[in-house]
Amino acid sequence: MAISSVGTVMYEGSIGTDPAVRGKIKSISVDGASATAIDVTSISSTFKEYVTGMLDGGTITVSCFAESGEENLPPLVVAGDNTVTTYRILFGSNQNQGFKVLFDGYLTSTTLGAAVDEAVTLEYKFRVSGAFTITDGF
Amino acid sequence: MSVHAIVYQRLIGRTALTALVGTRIFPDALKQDSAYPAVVYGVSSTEAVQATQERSYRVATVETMVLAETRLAALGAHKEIIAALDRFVGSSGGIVFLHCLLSNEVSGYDPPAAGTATGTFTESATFSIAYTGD
Repeated sequence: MAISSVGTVMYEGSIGTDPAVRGKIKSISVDGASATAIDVTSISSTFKEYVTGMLDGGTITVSCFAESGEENLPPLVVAGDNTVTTYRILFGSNQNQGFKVLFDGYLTSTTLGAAVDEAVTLEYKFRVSGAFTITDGF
Repeated sequence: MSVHAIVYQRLIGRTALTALVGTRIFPDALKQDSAYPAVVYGVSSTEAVQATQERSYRVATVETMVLAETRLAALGAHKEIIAALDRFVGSSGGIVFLHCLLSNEVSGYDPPAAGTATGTFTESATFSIAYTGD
């Protein structure tokens, strides 16, 4: 069954109490893990041959509508931070039909944008540190 | 409060406009037998912009039209309508206008109807209004 994006949220720390981003989320993109391709082609091979190397958890991009109020200003990126934060993205609003993405990572950039006849937007990028997991249900 | 009500407040509150049209500012349709010049305004469409958790804001298209016996009179009131609405940002009764932008202007002329001596000069404007609240 298809899952509606309505109700999709992102938290750090406790689910339901600590939103990971400020603003109203309009899109979330989980780029997914990628592996380095190591070329192991020998001179006798007809086709190129590869094995996979290290995995990279990738990045998570969250786009939001910015909201007014000092409490809704975007957080600053912290330099030299070596303590990962655990983030949870809950896709869909129905616990039985949605799924959860859990990862440790860092906020690496925030981008504010404005265009004529458009709402002010905020974009967050998170760097996944280590693996992320995808589990069924919340 | 509604978008209609805020647009009306902006128009009726502009003294340079009421000096030209008096209180002849009507929603949706011209009052029968109204004198000229007069202003008609209406919300022609509203589009909701969704976030994942809740509706974020709406974009309404508001149209205004000045009807007058001369082009000069129509243009004068039209100019004041633009001054009242274009780039207006504010709130009233729970509705917050994030922006109000002039997007289109059209001049027109309706020929005299049977039994009348003069036609009607019109000046229309279309505004795009982003707002929050119901």
